[in-house]
Amino acid sequence: MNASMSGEETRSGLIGSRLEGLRAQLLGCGDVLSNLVEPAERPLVTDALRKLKQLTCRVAIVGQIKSGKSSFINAFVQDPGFLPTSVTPWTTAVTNLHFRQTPPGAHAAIFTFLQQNEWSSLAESGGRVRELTERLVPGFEPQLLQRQADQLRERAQQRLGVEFELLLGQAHAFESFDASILLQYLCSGDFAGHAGAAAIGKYSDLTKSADLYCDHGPFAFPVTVIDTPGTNDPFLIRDEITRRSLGSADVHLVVLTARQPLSDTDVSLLRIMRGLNNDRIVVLINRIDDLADVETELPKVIAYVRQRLDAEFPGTGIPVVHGSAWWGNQAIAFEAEAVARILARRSASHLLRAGLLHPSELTPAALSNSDCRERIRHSLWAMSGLPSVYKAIDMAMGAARPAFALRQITHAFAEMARVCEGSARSELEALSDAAKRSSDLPQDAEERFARISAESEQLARVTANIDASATGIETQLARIIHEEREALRRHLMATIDLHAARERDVLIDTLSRGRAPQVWTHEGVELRRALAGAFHEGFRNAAERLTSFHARVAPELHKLTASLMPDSALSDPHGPTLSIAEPTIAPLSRLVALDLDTSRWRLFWSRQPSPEASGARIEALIRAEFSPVADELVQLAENAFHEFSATTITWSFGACRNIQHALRRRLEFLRAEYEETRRAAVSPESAQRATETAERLRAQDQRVKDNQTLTRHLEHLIQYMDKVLHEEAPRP
Amino acid sequence: MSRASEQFLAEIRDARERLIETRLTDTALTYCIAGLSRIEEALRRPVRVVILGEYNSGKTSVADLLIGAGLLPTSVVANTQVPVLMTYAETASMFGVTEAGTRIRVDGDENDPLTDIAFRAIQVALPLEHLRRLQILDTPSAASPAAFIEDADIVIWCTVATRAWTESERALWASLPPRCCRNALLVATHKDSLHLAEEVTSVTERLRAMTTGLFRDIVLVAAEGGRDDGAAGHAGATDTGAATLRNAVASLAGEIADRRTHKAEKIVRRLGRLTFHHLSSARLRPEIATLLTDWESRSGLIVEQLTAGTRTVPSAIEELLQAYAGFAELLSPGVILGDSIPVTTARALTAPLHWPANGAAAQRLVKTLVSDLTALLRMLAARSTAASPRHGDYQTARGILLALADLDGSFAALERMLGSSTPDAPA
Repeated sequence: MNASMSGEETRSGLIGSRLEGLRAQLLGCGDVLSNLVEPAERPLVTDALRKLKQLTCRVAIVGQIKSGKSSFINAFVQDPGFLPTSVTPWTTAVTNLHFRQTPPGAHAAIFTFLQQNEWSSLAESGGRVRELTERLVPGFEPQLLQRQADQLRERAQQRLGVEFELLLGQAHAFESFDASILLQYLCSGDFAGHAGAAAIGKYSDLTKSADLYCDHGPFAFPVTVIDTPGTNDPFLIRDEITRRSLGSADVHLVVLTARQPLSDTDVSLLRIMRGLNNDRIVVLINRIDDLADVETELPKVIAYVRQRLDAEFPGTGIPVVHGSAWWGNQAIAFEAEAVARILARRSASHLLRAGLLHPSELTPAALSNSDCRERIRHSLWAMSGLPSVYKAIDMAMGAARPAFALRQITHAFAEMARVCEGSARSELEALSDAAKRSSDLPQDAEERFARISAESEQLARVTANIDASATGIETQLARIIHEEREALRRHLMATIDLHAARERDVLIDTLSRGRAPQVWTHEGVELRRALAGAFHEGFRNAAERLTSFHARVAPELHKLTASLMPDSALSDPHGPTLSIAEPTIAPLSRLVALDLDTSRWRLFWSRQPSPEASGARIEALIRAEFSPVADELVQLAENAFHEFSATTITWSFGACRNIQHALRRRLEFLRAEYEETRRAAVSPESAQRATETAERLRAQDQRVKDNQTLTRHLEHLIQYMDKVLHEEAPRP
Repeated sequence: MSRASEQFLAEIRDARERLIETRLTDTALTYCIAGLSRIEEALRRPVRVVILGEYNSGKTSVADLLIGAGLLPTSVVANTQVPVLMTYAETASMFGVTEAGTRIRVDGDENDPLTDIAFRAIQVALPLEHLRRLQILDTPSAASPAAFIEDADIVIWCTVATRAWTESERALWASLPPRCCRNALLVATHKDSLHLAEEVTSVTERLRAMTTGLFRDIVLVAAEGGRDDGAAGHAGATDTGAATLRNAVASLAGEIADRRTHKAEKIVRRLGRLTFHHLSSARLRPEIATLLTDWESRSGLIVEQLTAGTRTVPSAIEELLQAYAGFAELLSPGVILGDSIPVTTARALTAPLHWPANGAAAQRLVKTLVSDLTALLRMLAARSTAASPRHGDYQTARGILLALADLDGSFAALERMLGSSTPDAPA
């Protein structure tokens, strides 16, 4: 990597530096907090710290085949030769590039092979698309898929020998890796077109995913960049792999090509991802170097993309950036021959926009001048669009899941810190009281003992009360979650039924008018959109019920606690603490039989005896195809609810329990002190005891001060997050 | 168009003109002349090249290459949302076709207010020699390709070389009727975006592998090669592929012309024979009519025997030819002394041959032979009838039609059929 290029523009604003700053601060706060909470509550803090340490942001690079995803990633991570690229579809597996993360074991590269059953389904029958076709038109032999499946099997055997199936289910791990290893596992090797290609793609047909651990890259926060094979591949198996990888990402970068920007295929990809979450999408118009006249064509392309995005996704304000990964890569690699080629194209005139070059310098001859070379290099970087991509990704990360997790943890820490501060304060008061009363009369001591006993009893009562309500609340929560889950399921199924019936009617109508059936195609998009809407609405209702339940329960808990400790400083939950992050709706992007193209539908129509039969078939088919999707969605929602009850509500109880434990400890201390007072009356050692008490007082005072600092710090963090991260999320 | 096609076209044009010159007002002849002129028209129709492809796949640039780079008024038709048809005309002109179907002349100037009218289609006529034989339809990508292929002779699918042949393209192509593949070319545009020669190779190889059986040929072109001043090292800079593309289209167009000619030949032969038969049934003297009736019952009997299986094909043919010779001699004494029965046929008849099996094909041939011999006899009979002022004209017309009907060809076919059963073949 070239150090000068990753200079001012990137170093100062490494991707995710704000999130990383927050994370580092929270890790520090957590360490302090775990020393301040009662031992019983320490696991809660430890668990949060573990989550913090594991927090990563997953950035998926998606797009059609040959939109330049792998080249873009190379420019993005500022390592031009990192991922192998080719002019034919090349990437076969999902590649996870892990930055700022510790690899498991000492392995820098792990390639996971398909499981036996996954391989069989691909190579024996052509995978899911075949399975779907089979469901649509039983007994139909899709030649294309069969041919692909045969090719796949033959090639694997040719490359790996007859025993290749022994590799299935295994993984290969390397302590370090280079391009030649990646070529073996990740590249199709198809049509390599040059000698020595034997090793290329050796394992590629069996490789399901790759995990590469990298120690460079422009990231401050732990980021996983996911390279996908690309959609719209006639080799349908690869399309399927891409679709499956979409769900797990936090931020999606959609790569388009300037020459064919935002085709219908791109739009359908965006529709899927918009379902995943619209404020986490960044659109990049790549390959502007392919435009002959960038100055006039680019504004048109951008306007077209924006207009189409606005029409498809009104009000979402998806950021659109543009550039050329080729320019970005050459800004870093700066290979004389390639740069000369760049300069010779008409699109090179766009480089003048960087303001560093004179038009006369746009010739290969300019490369002989070292000053000019530097200016060309900087112009390439500036116009490659990567600085804008970095900024856009950084912004998107501020609105994505990791930011949400950071906010949740900050709020939890802050509440716990306030509670600890309250307890510490009252403990300090008790101590100083005790110090003042060091020369108590025995009868005063008796009186105090009676009060301690009474307080203990009350504590026991309240504790029992809290325990009882905890059990009650848990039961109630489980009930609410169950009810909401069922309601959501009903809502989704009703949506599916409605659409299925509508499609049935439309189809019967079309067919009985005698219209050619191949004109009619099922609008899978509309149903998906409706399901996304239904899910969103259902989830929001459920989340509202859960959060309002929490909002009702928490003050009750606080009241109980306040009866023990009047200034327990528990704040009633409000605002962002009370939200439940909507899960991604990746299952909606699953390929179903209804998505198959018209050539397969034609057979479907020809086999039905009457329009009514076709209608009935289509209705049944839609139901059968989408109910598993609905089930998966419901499962995701349920997981989110459980996660909420396990974190937010557990933390609320944790705070209460922390008070109880603190109180119990104080009472025990008082009781012990009383015992000592009585013993002291028999054998006075008051001088030494006074010193001990003074020491304790000092320590507790320090503890209160530490706690105070922590609480204040966490409150500042909350304000910062609400201000900085919130302002960036696009407003609806 | 190939030389054979040109020649055939000239032949039928000549025959048609000579038939008109006879000035006979015979219904059959009128139909025949009309039929011939329709066939001529069909043979002369330029081959229609329809250019399809996804958005921005370089369709218009390919049209430009086919016409001759830079000759197409691209400023007007670029990124157009309507189909553009390019045809030949003596002088250049451009028309817009409105929704109502009216053609309005537009001058192509960007300031022309007419350019803003929502046309359904645009027609560009250019005085370019090769447009006489090829007409080109450039299509908008938004519309369904199925709408344009109805009268397509050659279909070109445009795809961008750097992202050639995606699933959506495959699905679109698969949705077209299979006959499209017969004369289809896959043209990968923007070849100039491939920087190395081996990139061109691997793209071509991939396309060949992915589209087996779907296209006749694959051509890579640098559609904008003329505009993006070719840099050193560009694989596309050395060859824009325009010549390859034009050759591929020309060779397909030649094949299409040949096929059309072949089809037309069959139709013309049948038309000629039917008209010939019709023209032969002129009024006859009673004794000659009796003779012909005798011939008809004689030949009818032979065919019946053949059908019933009591007579073999060779004996039927021999019998027929002998009967023909007899009747012909009666109608026009001395006629049979010439070469009316070809020597080869006679030789075939006298040789100890294995005759073809008494199949349906053989029967059909014998029946055709009967009707042709009947027509010949009628012609002889007509010649022997009282001289009518139009007699000579009829004879001329019959002569022309006889040539068109290619009776000699029929006899040659008979010969081939006879010759096919060689003495060595097993019985």
